[in-house]
Amino acid sequence: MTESGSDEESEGKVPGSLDDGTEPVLGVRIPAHIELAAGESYRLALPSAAGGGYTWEATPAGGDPGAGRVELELGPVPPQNEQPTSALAPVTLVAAGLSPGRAVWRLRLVRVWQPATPLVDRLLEVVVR
Amino acid sequence: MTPQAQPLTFGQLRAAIAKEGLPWQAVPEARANQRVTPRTLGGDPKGLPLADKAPKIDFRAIVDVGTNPFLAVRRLERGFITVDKIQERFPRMALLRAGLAEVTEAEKPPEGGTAASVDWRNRWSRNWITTVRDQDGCNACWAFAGVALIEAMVKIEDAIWTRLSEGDIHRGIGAKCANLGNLTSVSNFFSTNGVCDPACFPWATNDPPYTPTPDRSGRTVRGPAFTWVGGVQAAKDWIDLYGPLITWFDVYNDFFGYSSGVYQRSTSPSNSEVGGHFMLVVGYSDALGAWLVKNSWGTGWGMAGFGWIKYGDSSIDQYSKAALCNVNPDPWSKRRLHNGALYESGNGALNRNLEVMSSNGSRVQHWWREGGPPWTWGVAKSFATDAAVCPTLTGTTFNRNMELVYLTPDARLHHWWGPGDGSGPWNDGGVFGPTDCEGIPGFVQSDYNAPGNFEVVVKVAGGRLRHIWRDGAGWHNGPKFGANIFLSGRTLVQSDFGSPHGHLEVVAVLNNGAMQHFWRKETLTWKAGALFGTGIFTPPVMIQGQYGMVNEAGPHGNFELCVAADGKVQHWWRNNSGDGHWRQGPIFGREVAMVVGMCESQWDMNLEVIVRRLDHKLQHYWRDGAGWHEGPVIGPA
Repeated sequence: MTESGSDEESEGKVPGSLDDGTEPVLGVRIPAHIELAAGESYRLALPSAAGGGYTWEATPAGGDPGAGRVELELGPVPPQNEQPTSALAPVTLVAAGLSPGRAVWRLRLVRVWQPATPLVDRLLEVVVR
Repeated sequence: MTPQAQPLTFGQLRAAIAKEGLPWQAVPEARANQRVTPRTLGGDPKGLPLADKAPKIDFRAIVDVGTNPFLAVRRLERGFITVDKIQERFPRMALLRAGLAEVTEAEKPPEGGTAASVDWRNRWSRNWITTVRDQDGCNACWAFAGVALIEAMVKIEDAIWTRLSEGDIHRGIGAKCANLGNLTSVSNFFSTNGVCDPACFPWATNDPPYTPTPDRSGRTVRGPAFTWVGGVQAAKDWIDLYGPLITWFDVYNDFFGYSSGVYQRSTSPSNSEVGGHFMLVVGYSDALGAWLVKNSWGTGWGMAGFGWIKYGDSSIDQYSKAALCNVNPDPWSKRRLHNGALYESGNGALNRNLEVMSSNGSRVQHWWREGGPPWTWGVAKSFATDAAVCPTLTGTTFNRNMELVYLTPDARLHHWWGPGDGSGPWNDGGVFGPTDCEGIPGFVQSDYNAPGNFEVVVKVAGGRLRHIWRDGAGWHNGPKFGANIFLSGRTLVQSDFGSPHGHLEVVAVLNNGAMQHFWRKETLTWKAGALFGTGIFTPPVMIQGQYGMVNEAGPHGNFELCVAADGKVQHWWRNNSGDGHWRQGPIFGREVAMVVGMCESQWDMNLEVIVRRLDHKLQHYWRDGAGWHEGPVIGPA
């Protein structure tokens, strides 16, 4: 994974993506399926609902977790000026192709005190060529 | 179109809707363009300053007696006001009940001593804080904190539980669910436009178009811009002497899992900062070294939605906190709290003038009393020539108009309306209703449609009651109900029973001298309820007050009813949050011919009653925690 979006990494564009037609989450469309080459990674800025107490979770949900890994990166909260504005740390989904195969990850936007009622509950299929 | 620029009459409103659609539909874009700019969503240096850069508040210069007797005693205790000043504004018994007897000679401020702890959820054995809300997945804490502050100050300053809409602020400034926000935009919106109730425009997470009901300007709590309070000591003083504050707070991951105790963020490297957040500070404890906050993440978070946060933790004291005082509640918030010829308007320096309408058998005379010392009654305008009885007066959502209905000598009903500030002129709304009206009309604005229909119940020939109502198409004669009716009274209330529309409730006097309660559910069928009392042959007055309510959600305020019998006043009440039975309270007064008006006032929920005496003069009585008191004779009816 690189910092600059090189050939080995794409940001915002889904390599070999397909869109399952689901509604955007807080204005962001999240793919249901991505295809990567081994060693390639994909980054997508996720909408944050931390202001409402929600956090993103990514957990293995099927296939071979060793084929593709999904992680969530939390960036720094933007600095405040003299007048604070409600602020959110950026959250980035990072999918990495590890070895040929197929992995399914569950993405949930959930409150830790209300685990049974997530705001978002999606499956993300990562196919690694 | 500027929503509050011109008085909106019923006729004008109908014409506007027919011609242009809802008048408010044109407003949101203009407001969005005006309010939502990078400046207000970014860093406004004139907004919420760093705590150490905030202008220092000189409490000695700003603290006055106020309108809450408990706070007044507290201000006396702290040395900010004198005994003479406080006794000018409050009856001695009210002050004794609020703790005056315990107050000793105070040191002068600031040495007078900040309270070691304050919890507005239970201060002076009462709750002053509205229910915990849930912003769900939207980043709208700023709107929720703003509404929480305004609602709390309406309760603290004006003794009224009100439910306001976070969506009105949120969508009113053009924000969407994912948008961030700040308190300057909330303060600007509130001070310019007020905040309406959810039935006018609700909170929703799906960014609906901003289309509040066309009567928004008459159903908004109003008030000034926020004040910024910088520094821990000043914040404690404000909470002790005025009320809650809105604070900024850096949210770290471990805050999501807070459930009890005092929160102090973990310094573990894995504990990441996830954002900044606004919450309402409703108290503090020096023993705990912590602020008490009301969050907007539902009651499942923290301690039923509340939590303690250690002083200084997570930047909670980095910025000044937002404060508010001198709010002005609207007629809609007070719609169940008054009936008959008496209405507590939002007029006057303290937003609580009493307005009374009397009749000498033909003319209507408007009387008013300033909402504070010297408590003298004044004569306002006189109008109409056919008022057979004292009118039934109410405040409506038509730009806070005052509107009234009375029985005419021709057995009809007559409607008049005037501007809410009482300045006149009074406008003739026309004669309406059946031709066999015989009694005193009950008259309210209901929540059917927006602006809400007018509802009238009056005794008609044949010993029956008749329901008459007005919608956008005019007045309609509704069904007759009841039997053996001797008198109707100023008792019509749209109660908080029922959803989405409250029941209509009315009490009438039967031929046998008993009173009977009638009510109508959403099925639109009137039902006969309980019989109570004996020997009653004068028209009663009834309100639904707030005794019995824990917060703005209820459960249900009691019905309070006053009626004259044998030259005195009987007070009856129904325990609406308990067994639902009518009970008789104390008997008071003398030489009383008839009760003509009643309200639960903004003076600590006192009951205020206007009677017509046997000598045809009006007199004021009131009840505080010490019982009923005889007030002045106002003047000729």
